[in-house]
Amino acid sequence: MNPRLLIGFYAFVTLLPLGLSWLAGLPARTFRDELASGAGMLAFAVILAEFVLSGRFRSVSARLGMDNTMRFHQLVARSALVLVFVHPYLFQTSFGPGYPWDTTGQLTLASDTGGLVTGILAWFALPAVIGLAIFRDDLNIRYETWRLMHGVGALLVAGFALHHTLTLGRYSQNPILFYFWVVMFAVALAAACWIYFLKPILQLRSPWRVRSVQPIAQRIWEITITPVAHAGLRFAAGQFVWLNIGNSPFSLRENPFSVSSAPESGSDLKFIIKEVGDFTQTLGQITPGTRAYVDGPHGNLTTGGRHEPGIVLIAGGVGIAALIGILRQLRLEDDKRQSVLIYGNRSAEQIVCRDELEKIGHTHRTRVELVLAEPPPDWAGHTGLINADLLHRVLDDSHAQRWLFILCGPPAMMNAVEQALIEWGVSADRILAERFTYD
Amino acid sequence: MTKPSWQFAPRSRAYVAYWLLNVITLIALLAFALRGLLAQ
Repeated sequence: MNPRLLIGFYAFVTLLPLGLSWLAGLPARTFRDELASGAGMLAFAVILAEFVLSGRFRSVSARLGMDNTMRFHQLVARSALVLVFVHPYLFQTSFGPGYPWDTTGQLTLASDTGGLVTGILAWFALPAVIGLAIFRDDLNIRYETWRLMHGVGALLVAGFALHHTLTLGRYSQNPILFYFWVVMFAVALAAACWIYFLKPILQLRSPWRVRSVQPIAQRIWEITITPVAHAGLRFAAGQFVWLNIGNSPFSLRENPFSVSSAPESGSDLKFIIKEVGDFTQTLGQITPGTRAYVDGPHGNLTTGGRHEPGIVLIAGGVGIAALIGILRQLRLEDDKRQSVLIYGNRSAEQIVCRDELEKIGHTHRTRVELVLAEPPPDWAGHTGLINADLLHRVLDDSHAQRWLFILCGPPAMMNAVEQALIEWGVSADRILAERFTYD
Repeated sequence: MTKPSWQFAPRSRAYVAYWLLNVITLIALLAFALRGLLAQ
């Protein structure tokens, strides 16, 4: 399904409850009552759709792009939160026992206690789930703990909201809408089961083993894993996987890492990982032979199917992991396109695979531009940060007008570079970017 | 001003699609709420 159809399908599904309610033929109440019901239904449909927008479904994220999928997931959650917040305050009609002669529910809001309780629970649980996601870093919650809380919390919100909608919803008394909610909830539940149970079962059948763990720069490690009794992973250079080392696939202890080896180089997968979070600080303790599991490939930082005459790769820090995979693949395939790598770090000790990059710079159609924020006295490369000034020094208008730009790095660099490129006239469809705030 | 990382890149296709979807949703919600008045 192409992205436009996918977005159209999303709009259709989330707006369908409003359409079905409209077609139910019940007499309309006041503007505020109808707005309240509409907001509630819309929010519930959006919340249920969030389960398949979690970035774990390649059929969605591969078409929209992982960054777009995750940003959409995060943004519409905020919209749903606003709709849920205003939902009870918008009602004009008061709660009370239903009158036998009021068969279309116009005079009072039904007062089923159970339905009210689940509505209130969902009303409190949703901001808690979203708040934990937004402030996870500030709250210093371990990633796997948060992930479990996020999954269970989202299921609780959906379950409470389903009960609330089916027992109190004026329009849910319509059998078609009633079954629509049941089916949507079943899809959301199936999506959660797929992520938390079925995928791990499939991963058990395709285990990996750690072949080596080597320090390659200051607080940066290269980990190599090899497939155990299976052919390995089919992926494109620049993609990433969720990597789980030393834990059960059911443990939720997995982190997203770009594959830094080229698909062409064999079935082993290499990862360049920086010590920044709770898992990555234990990298040095991983021993060869440790069991590993891989979920992927994900992401769309890939050059396949692109017809631009050249590629500008812009990496900040450990963002080089994805881009060096692309460079290695371009070299192995003897790709005819020109490329420029702009690679920024704070200090010279953090530069990864420097010899290999210099070799690529000499033997392939790649120009390598190293940038250091804190250069040593004898530094011959660029200094400062990767920003608009540096891009204008290193590139020219022909790059901006025709080449493909692939960005991977910390959010501040990505934001600055993306903004600078767009202001320079680079069309957004020629900028591929992925950012990960996970450790 | 630096945009938060959870927002779409300005003027990107995803940005346009996202806001188009918001506008369509808002219109649908208002039309639903106003249908009593519209029918009169």
